Amino acid sequence: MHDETEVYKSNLQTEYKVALLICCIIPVFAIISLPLIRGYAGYLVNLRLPDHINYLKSLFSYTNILMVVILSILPLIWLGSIKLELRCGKGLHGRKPYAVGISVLIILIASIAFKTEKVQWFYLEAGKARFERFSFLRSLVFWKREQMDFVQKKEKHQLMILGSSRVNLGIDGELLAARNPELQARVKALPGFSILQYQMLTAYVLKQKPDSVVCWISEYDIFYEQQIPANRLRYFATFDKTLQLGKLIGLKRLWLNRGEMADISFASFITFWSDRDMLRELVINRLWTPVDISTGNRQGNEAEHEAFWQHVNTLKENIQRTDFVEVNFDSFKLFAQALVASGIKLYVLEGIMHPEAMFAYDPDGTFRRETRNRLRSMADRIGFYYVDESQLPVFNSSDFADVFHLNDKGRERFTYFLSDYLMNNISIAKGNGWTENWRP
Amino acid sequence: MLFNSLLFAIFIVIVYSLYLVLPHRSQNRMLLFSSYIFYGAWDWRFITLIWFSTFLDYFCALKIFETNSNKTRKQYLLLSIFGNLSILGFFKYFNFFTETLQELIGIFGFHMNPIFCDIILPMGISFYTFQTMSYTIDIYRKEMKPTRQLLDFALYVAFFPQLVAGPIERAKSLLPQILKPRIVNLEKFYEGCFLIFWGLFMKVFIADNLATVVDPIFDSGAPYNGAVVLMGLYGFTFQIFCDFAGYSSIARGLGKIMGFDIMINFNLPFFVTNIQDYWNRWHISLSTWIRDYLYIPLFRILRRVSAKARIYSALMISMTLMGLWHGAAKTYVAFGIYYGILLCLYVIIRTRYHSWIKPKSIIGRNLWTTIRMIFMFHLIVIGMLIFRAQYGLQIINMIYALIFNFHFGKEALCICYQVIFFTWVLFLVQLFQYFKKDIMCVYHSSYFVKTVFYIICLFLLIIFGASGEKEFIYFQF
Repeated sequence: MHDETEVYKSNLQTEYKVALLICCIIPVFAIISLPLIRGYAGYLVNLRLPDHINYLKSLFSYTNILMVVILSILPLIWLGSIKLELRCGKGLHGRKPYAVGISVLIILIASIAFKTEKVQWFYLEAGKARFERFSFLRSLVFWKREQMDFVQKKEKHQLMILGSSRVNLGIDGELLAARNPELQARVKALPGFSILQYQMLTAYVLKQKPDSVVCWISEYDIFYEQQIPANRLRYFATFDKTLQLGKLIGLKRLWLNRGEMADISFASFITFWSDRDMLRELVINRLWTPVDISTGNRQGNEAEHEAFWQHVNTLKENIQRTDFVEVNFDSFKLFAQALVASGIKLYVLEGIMHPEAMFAYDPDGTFRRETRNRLRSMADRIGFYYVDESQLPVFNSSDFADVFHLNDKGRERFTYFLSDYLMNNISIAKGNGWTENWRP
Repeated sequence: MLFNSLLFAIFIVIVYSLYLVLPHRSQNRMLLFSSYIFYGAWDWRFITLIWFSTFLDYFCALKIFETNSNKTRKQYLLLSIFGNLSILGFFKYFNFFTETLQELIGIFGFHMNPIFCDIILPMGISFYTFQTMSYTIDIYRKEMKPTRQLLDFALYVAFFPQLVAGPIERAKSLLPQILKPRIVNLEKFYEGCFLIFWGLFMKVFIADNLATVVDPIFDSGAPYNGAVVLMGLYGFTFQIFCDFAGYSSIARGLGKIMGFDIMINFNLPFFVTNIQDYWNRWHISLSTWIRDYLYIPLFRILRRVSAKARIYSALMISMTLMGLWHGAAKTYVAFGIYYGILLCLYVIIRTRYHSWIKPKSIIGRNLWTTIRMIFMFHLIVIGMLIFRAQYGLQIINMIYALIFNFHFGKEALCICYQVIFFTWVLFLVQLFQYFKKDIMCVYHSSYFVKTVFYIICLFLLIIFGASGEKEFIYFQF
């Protein structure tokens, strides 16, 4: 014990000398390095160094001087804390874990600061230039950027279309807006959008105050997940919705998905955790490598064909009566109830897939029928609009780009359909909604 | 059950809460029961192997102690060694030996039908087998007295913090701590928590992330780019260090919060100037085990051979077996032989050329020490190549690429950046430890330094910590 205290005191004395040295060095270091860092920050966002950077001017800018002062204060705090520790401390024996407490506090404060608009803008712009095309992260960046730039036009009917890449590639937002000038439509889509995400997004959707919400749900959403998709849910996790999900899934599934639940619970407190995949990709893999969007993800015919059947096989293997079927229905029910209770009109369209794929994973249509029947009865009970396959246009193989996504032709057909449907049903100008007998 | 899993976090909270409220004897019983649950969570069937080792060594040790006849003592010792090595041999080396035998017979033109068994390797079998064997050997050497408390001895064999990946504790050190009541106080608790935190950081941030950088290099086939291979080897060297030292740190931390002092297993192994020093600092519990129970006895057995030949053969045999201890593969044998040769060369150099370069100034001495450290580090890196290679030809291909196909391009630069990104904290901490000659120097530093340390580590863990519960590399041994 005595030895350890001696070691501790000798460490403090060495540290004192180091802190003194850093006190002298850091102002000079900071003055020189900060403009360079700012220059590189410009590169991070713009993908090239600024053409004209006046280093001399930026040396004496207010921000630079402020940063230098802050950095110079740090070693002084260090010196002061060592002096205080040497004077008042009881040696190693009497030490308390203050360092842990302070660190956690600072991380919480930094987590809040990370949410500020300026930081978010910088980080999302850097991400926009770097993330892979069609990736979840790239879509997420655009989701967030759209959110930052969005200006609600109050005179227009607010429409939010929520869903996965199937929705994103299935609906042409510009065409929809052109055909429905009274609408302000937002397509909020993420690849691999899980059905549990609706419930997690409830607070977000309510905050946006849309007049109508369109979703697209099929048996693929209901019968696919085998565990909680934490890497998708954590971006919009809130504590109350995580708690709600915990209650919904029950004890057994909670235990089996403990890692995922812990993940999203943590994400509801710490922004760094919820955004960790983005930060990780940005800092580790893409700090200096922007993505060449022009050439991204192009495949030959043969490769496309092979990928098609690989996806079909994956669907065949994975679409089944999983442990999460009831949870999926229940969580969507909560989402729908919350929206309807807030006066938002909810339109649920029956999702479509490539006919060959659908036949492969659900040959007798059991899953599809069950999904349709249960959603229809849910719609009747809660009061949302359910549009099943019979009301949709018929899509055949030539309308699909791959197993999941519509091609340009299919996209146009679907957008026309949705546009007509909305025109007939929402009755925007009058604001009195639903026309019972509409058919495509 | 992995230390870096939520299940273990729940487990340790329950175990530690019970530990704090129970009296000494009940603490031991509860720890024993918990250790079996900990091991059984992986595969409960293999608890019987631990029981077998426990009963065998408990019984043999008592018999050795009670009898005065040297012959009987030796018989019981051999029974213990044979029993333990048979289990180890069957579960770990059966297929390897039959395959090697088949190849040997093939050389002489004979054919043998291969006999391969689909054997699951019990987790941590090499660790607890060596640990129990050391107990019987120590009793045989009259270096300690056996315990009559079977359950306490069982706890020594199965103590969960170090059961599956060491450190290989000696009975002389751990058993007395089990038998006597232990002191648990806040100071030990804080120190233990610090060790656990640092161990988890090494595992989750450094080792697991480096694995994602290193694995694709070793999984790819020839031709390799020497620069990429070199960066991959640097990465793997730090990966395996952080994986194993991280486990050992967590084990020590868990022991510490319960009042146990578990031995240090790694002591700045990259700050060495000779190969002997390296083995005094890398996997200390295994290297000292090999020294005490294999090298020294071999040295004695070979007394009829000349002095030099005695040292060289004892070194070569010990290191080859040490390599084989790691696993049933020829690359591990090559790994052992490599270090055997290096140690023999070191013995030759030390005796003949030790006074060739001796700088007189402080700067010169420091520079010379640094050069030797860098050189030693690269010898270690080559050792890691042999250790990590999936097959013999890969070693040759990679060494060929290092010499004849070295292009430091974009890919190598990217790997280099990632290795630096994941290891800079380790590098700073190790440098601090080296200059302070104190491996707990961060814990012993001021509140300010510790706060900065925790902030950096927590940030890196939260944002860049590898997701998923990845196994420790040494579990397979």
